[in-house]
Amino acid sequence: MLRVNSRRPDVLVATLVYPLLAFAFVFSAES
Amino acid sequence: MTIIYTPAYVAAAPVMRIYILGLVALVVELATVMLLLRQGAFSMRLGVLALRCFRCRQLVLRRVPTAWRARRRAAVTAIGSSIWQRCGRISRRTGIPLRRLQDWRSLGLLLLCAALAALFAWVAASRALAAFGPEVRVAAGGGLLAIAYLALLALCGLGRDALAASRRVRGETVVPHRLACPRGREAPCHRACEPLDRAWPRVPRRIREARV
Repeated sequence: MLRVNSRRPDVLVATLVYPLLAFAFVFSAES
Repeated sequence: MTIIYTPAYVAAAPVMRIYILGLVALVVELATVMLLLRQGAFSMRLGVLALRCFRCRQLVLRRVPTAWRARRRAAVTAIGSSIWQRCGRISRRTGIPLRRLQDWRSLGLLLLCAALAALFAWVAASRALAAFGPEVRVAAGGGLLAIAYLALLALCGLGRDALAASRRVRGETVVPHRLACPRGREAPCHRACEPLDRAWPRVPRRIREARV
């Protein structure tokens, strides 16, 4: 149950969130 | 960035960067699993303990005016250690090894792809578009990052996994490839083909077939 219910959504969230975080990290000091 | 924020906010960008590193760990969603396992009290105790440790460290470091990086690092460490403790607790309660609790390989690869794409976008935007204003650099950097990220996902084969995961989350039936599903495409009752909202009965096959 844990494997099915937790792993897949977390990978999906990471797929969407990680590039946004990377973008914010890199371009946060762009002035 | 002065496009959106004032110069005072831009001065705090390094601090926000450290917080962004902490947010990376929060992708692993454990709160619902902890509640399902009736570990809400443990989770709360852990949160209070992490908060106290963090607060003590903040008080110690407050005397040093230039230690803001260390203070932010303390916050990130508190987030990371709390998640690690929760993972360990779930692993012990369920008997699932820590390495199988999450798809760590995919999460690591996704993080690597995002970091490489961001690095590529930043280098390209700062070198090739140095003559343009920050708005152009940020917009072009975002586009470049998206393209590079998608290309890296396709290269690693992670795009297919993400699409399958989104279908499963929406409750759609996912028909696996004929090589991945030993019973082929003509077997809609196979476990891998089931949507997530239907519980798979844990009964022997003979009894299950007799019921049908």
